[in-house]
Amino acid sequence: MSLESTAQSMQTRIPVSRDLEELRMEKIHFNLTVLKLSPKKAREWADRTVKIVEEAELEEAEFASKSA
Amino acid sequence: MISPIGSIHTSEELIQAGISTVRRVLKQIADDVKADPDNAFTEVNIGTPPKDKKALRVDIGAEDMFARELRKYKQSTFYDVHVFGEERLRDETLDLTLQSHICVLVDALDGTDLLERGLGNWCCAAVFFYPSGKPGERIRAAVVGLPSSEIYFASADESSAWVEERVGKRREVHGRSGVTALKDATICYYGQKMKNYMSLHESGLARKMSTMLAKSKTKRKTKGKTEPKTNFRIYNLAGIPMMLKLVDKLCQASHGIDAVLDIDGQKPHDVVAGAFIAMKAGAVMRNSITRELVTFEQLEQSLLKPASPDHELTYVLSATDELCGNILVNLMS
Repeated sequence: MSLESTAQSMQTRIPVSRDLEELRMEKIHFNLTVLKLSPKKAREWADRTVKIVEEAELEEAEFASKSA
Repeated sequence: MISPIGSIHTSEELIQAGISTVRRVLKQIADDVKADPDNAFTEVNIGTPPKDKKALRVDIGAEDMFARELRKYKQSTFYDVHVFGEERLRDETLDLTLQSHICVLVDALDGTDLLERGLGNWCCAAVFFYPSGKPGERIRAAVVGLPSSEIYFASADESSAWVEERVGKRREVHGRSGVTALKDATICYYGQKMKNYMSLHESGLARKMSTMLAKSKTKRKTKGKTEPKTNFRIYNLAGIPMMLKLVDKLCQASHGIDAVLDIDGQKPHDVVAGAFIAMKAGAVMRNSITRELVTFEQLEQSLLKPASPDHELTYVLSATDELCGNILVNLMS
């Protein structure tokens, strides 16, 4: 599967904000080219990273709104 | 909190960005290891020959995460901060003296061997510095995350160190011990590899330990078993996490870490972030060869040439200067 088609399938499968989508694409590319993971693993790792960032952002936003 | 002339980020801003980034990296590391350990601990070649280098996926992934999350923090406000990751530091001649940006030296996963073995003495360490700043004030902030999710930090503008235990919950470090005598001390040194292990084993400190043991045995023999055993402890695990614990004793009654030392030489990314935090909280650092005090300016010098073998640090970091002196006297005797 080419990087572009991987990216497209990810985009259609999970709706995310532009920034997180950008992160997903960057990570898939990084996982394939630098970490030399298989396309399946590259997507899995990218998905997990997106989840981590999403959760961290929520946690920080929650704290900011509480302390505001 | 003022930013140094020419720098657009204050130390407090760098700390906020550093904490947020380190927190994400810690989660990424934990997740990579939990979800896919077989891949996480597989080696890949990075770079192109002849300058390629083998590294583990978990290390490279963590370093990439750090660079990206820092750049993206607060709508890319920190995009101008230059990230130098340990895994990509291959050019021994790299000289940051003339850099006009804030730089950050990162060891996104320091102690991979420990993580691999399910042990906890690893960390994610970052030190922000401004090469064009005034000597002695170039290090702006240091942030270190531990597997426990505690994030230790110190700023150029404050004379103490803090811990963020979870998002928004901060406290000042509990402080260091007042131990001055070697017989009462808890010492840590990096001695996992044979070379490092033997360096201490063959030093005067090992001979001093034999003498202390013999004295303690004789005392207990002559005065009976009521004579207390020596409190001396030595751990062959050291590094940045131990430096942090040196200034964050659990409580007044407990024993803590009293000294961390290295006599073989360590790269700046393995030392500076932890040493800066510990020194801000009052710890004393001396060169283990020259016995001279290590100043913030000397730490900075090592950061300016972060991959140079000539800028490796040999040191004794101690809770008190008296203990530091006692260790140094015995080490080289």
